[in-house]
Amino acid sequence: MHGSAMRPVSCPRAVGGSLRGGLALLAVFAVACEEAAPPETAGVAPGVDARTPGGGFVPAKDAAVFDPAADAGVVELPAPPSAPEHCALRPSDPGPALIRRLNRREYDNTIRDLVGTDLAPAESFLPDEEFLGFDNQAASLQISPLHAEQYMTAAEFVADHVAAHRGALLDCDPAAAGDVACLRAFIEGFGLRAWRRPLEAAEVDALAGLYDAAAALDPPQFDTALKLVVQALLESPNFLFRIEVGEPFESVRLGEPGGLDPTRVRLSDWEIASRLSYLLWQTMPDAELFEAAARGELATRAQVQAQARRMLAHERARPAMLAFFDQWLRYAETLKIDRDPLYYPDFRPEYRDLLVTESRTFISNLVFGAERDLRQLFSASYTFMDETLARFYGVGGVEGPGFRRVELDPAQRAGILTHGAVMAATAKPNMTSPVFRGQYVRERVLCTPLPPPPPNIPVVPPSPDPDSSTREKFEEHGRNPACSGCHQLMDPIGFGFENFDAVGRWRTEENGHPIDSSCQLAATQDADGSFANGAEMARRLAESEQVQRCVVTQFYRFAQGRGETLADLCTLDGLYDAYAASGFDFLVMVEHLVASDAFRFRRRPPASGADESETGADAQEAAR
Amino acid sequence: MISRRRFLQGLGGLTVAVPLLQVVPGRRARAAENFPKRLIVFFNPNGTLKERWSPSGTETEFALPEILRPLERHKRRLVITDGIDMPVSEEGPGGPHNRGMASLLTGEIIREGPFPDGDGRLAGWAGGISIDQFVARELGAQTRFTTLELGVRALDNEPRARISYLGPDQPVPPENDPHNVWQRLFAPMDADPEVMRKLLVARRSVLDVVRGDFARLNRKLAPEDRHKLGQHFEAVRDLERRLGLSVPGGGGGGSSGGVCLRPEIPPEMDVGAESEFERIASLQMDLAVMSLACDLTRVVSIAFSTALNALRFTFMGMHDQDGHSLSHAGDASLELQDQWARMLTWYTDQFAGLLDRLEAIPEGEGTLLDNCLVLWCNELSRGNTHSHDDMPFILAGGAGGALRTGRHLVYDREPHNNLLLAVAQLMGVEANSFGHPEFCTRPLPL
Repeated sequence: MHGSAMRPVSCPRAVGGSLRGGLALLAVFAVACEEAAPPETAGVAPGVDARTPGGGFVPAKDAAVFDPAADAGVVELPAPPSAPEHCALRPSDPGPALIRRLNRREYDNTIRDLVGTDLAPAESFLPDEEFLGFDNQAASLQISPLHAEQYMTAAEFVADHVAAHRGALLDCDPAAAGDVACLRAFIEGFGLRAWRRPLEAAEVDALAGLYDAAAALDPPQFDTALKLVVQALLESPNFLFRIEVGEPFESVRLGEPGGLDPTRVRLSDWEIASRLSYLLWQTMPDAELFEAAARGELATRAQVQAQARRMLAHERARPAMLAFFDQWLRYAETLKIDRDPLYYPDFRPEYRDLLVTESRTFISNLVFGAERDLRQLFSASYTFMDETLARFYGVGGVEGPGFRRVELDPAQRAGILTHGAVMAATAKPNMTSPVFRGQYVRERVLCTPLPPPPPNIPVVPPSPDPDSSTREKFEEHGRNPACSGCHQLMDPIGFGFENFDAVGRWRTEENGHPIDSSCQLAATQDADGSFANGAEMARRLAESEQVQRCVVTQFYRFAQGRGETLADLCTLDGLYDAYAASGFDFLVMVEHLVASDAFRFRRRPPASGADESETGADAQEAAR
Repeated sequence: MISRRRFLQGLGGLTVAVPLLQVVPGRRARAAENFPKRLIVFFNPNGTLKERWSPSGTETEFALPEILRPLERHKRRLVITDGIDMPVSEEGPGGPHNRGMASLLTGEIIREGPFPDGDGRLAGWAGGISIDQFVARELGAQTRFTTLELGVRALDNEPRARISYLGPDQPVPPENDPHNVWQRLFAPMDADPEVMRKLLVARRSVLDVVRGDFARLNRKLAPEDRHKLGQHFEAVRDLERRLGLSVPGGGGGGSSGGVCLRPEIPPEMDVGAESEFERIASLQMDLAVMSLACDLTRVVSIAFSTALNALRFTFMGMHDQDGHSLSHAGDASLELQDQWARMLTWYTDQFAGLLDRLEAIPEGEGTLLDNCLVLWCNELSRGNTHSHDDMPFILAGGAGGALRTGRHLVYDREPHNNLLLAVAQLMGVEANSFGHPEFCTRPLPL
């Protein structure tokens, strides 16, 4: 189905563009409802870095670029480019990578595993800025003065805990071994685990110097020094960031002379261990992973993959993978929804947890269970409920506590898009929103985001109205010529879900108006056509290559902590092939990702390097 | 798992004993003319309805229409302006909300970034430092906290939700939870001075070592990573510098001569709930005013929600529409504009309530309000046109005697950078220009 013809979509003054590389998915379009975008930004997906060194985006010659002379009512989605034949021929480019700060979840998990108690100090930290819908993106994870203060007080809190429960973390007895020797042993052992690599001699010395500082504070000196050391370790960028330096390596490539790879460095075994553990477990490496790094056993693809397989079988992988699905599919936002009791008087707050548990149980089963075909994510006519939730949905025959598999009417429900949690997260407090639901499918499921509406529209979106159905109100709204172009890309999808009210329950009428959820899916690569209801549309999406490629892209963003660039197209294509070949087994895709060059390598920084930088801490330090 | 409350109680080895209103006598009473100047920024989004906002009458004898009516009792403490434009917000990528937010307090053009916007381009963060942070470089040097950024359901983590910037691409996120604000500001107030002295020594020793880590790391990292680390380094250095400012004053600021009242600890609440909006607003303003009275900081911003918010005023029985949607109501939709005006009037109520609080704190012969400059701002002038012309700026308070109030001033297309420059000068901070120089022609004559 690649190579389908251009599809007209009426969206006033739009710009079509495509990213080369064989991914139908990455054929994106920017829509400018007021004025045409300048060529340099046209066609760049949000998060796709148009200014990537060496991979700078130039609108491809074969991209459909907006022509102001053409009919202003039509956007042309470009035909997907053909497969990237060059992928096998070039040294793969790992893409741009930035060091990443631990986000709140990673911070808490890491502290838990470092000290053995779930202290959860990050609960009161400032929220992490989000980008592309994820809270683990390098570019957004900044550190303000308030962050620094919060890290300081949290480190003090953790240090007090460590000092009070030091038995498990301290291998020596200061009375026998001597204070300083014992402290140094602690610094080396605990330090390695905190910084996720062995400490250099100068680092150990600097930390051990805190023993002298402790002399001026409360006795006993060793205990106080221990606290200071823990604080210094936890307030350090070596703890708060996943530092990646990489190391030069011999590159052997067909038809090329040997020698050091000129464009890439390979991540050290310690750095690979952290990449694995923060992706697969959202926390620091465990003892086995550290040992593998110490023995140099994370150097090859096979070694990395073997570790990944072990880790994915561990119970920690479940919450970590669910953290991805939670954010990608946004159903977890239902935990925080505010439903207006005036319109939904019987919606009790505890349903929010149950709805999200339903979605998580369903996904967990698809990812880790026996039937691992992720197409079912959008097609399954079964779900998981307990009695309370079943009563909420009006589903009979489910008795007693505990979530269990429940078969539903396939004409009503098909996978996650028809889950109450998704339907609630994409509704308003007082009514459904076909616009939000359509936007959700475009952005999260089809990976073709639409921009927000053009600004100066003196129109207020519909509010609840007993005299007409939501669909009627929105159809009337969408007829406004200033809106209709873009809304045609969202509203029809949303109409398909009108059988689900703003808390996700099935309905066949609304204020006495019968629900009509039949409509058309348009402007997709391979899923266009009319549908009778939302379940039918969802099943069409389940079979779409565009959708399954979007799954890969979304996980890639989450895994790499950044938006995809042109340099990533070959990697993404390879991941999709492996994923499709496995019958859409999500974990197979994950295993291929960690074995990819993009995961194991970094771009080699310019040779001139550190000393000339004017922006770094070095220069600032020198200026003091 | 240890609860958040227990963690907070563990902070610095302090326990949180909570007297309701503990009067801390002023330790560093000053001569009346020597009270510090303070700046407060008050923000609410999505524009207003100027035809129901602008006073009528003369410069000094004027009447307040519907939206500003709750300010009647503070009329003589205000400078209400008309005719100030925000031309710098017409530049750069992104829609008018994002552009307005980025320029509002920085006077700079928005930068390109990763956020797709309605103009088909990618919006980013602001291109420079905001006036609150700029002024705080001088005013904040003497206080435990350089600035305080408070949010009232200003929850989204995007450019349209940020007004304060440390520099280009460096947004400062607000704290939305009054409980957390209290813990940070007021929990250490009853600490034993000797405990605090030792805490300071310990913290400095630790940060000394951490500083060495930056230098070692910096030599190894790629240039972009060094830049990222540089931000962290700056934050740590700032922290280190001001740690000493809390000691030996007992861990908090002293009163600057007036009355420093330790507020009651706010409950933990759902800061995202629409129904809590009014209560959180009230708590955040209490905390803001007391942080100034106790001289914990001299610069505070309070952001009420964000541009493009989806916030309904259910606490006023308004269940149908959210504020951003109502701001779009066409001029023919009077009924919807009436609803929008009700919301806007509520914001005026809050602003008036803030002034009430400031006026209730005596400082020398006058009140805290005499030594404050309060800037009320919005990223748009009008929601249904998204105009940045004729913005609804209001100044209040005496700015330590620098501002003549009780006036309605009408300008002729004055760029708002001039207002920002005037704010700096009113605060006694030297500056000849602020923000993008092309849009700053003179200090706004006041």
